[in-house]
Amino acid sequence: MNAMEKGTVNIRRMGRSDIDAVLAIDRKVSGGQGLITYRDMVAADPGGALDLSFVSEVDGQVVGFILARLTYAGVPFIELAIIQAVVVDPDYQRRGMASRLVNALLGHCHAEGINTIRAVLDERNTELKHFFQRLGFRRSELINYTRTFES
Amino acid sequence: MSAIEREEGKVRIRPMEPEDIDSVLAIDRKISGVRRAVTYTDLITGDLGGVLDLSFVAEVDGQVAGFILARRAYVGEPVTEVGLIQILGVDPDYWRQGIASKLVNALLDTCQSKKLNAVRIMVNERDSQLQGLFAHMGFRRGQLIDYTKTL
Repeated sequence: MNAMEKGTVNIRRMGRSDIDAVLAIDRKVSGGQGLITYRDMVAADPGGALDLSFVSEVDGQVVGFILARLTYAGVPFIELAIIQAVVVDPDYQRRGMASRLVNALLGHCHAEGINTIRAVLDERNTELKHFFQRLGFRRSELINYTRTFES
Repeated sequence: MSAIEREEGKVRIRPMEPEDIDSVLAIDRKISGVRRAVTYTDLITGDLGGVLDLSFVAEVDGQVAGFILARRAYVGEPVTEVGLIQILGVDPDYWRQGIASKLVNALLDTCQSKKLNAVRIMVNERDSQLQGLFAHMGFRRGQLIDYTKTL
């Protein structure tokens, strides 16, 4: 019997007290020091006015999270939710946890009247593209231009 | 005549202040032709705290004629800190005077002096005019794309 079968999954909004658990999962997934820093999490301001992040718990333990925030982009402005990360503890992967986190965000956005949800990803990441396609996301016409500074 | 007027109207780029939000929204309305709800201002103002250090307005004779809104974002592995351009807008009455370039240059200078690694913007792949502007300013197309769900 695996961890998921014996536990009840609960999805809830992320709060400041979840920062340590979120960083621990990130480190576990990346197998090193993690991709997300404490500074990132403070900047994300979980539970703040513009934060749209959720965590998933199994038996009260945080096992996954979605980092998302409300933002404005384009001229004319549109209000949109931007997904910054979806991360699930490897012990709880392949059980639809990531989809449930995205769906929690979608449900919340729908209730709040936020009609556009966006994820920016690498065009070479086929798995991630399929993940979002399955959830009803479609590739938009946005591409990126970046200027990198030398040194 | 108009050339002389243009010479007289000096363009001044300065950091954005919270008081600029009405001018910024006025330009947005002028471009989009839609009057937005008042509450919208409050929402954007709420976002300005983390945004203002990388945002600028262009003034011509003391009148705000354009703006660039950007914020810090942390991406990739190893984590790089980039200045993400959220909105770039110029009053249609002041187009074709190089104001957009001046705004982008001010952002580039600031990001470089703050030791950020790059400046990025998401643009529409069909908008060759905007892509041309950024290519001309040393930006290169990257591999990030966008998946969007509309509710």
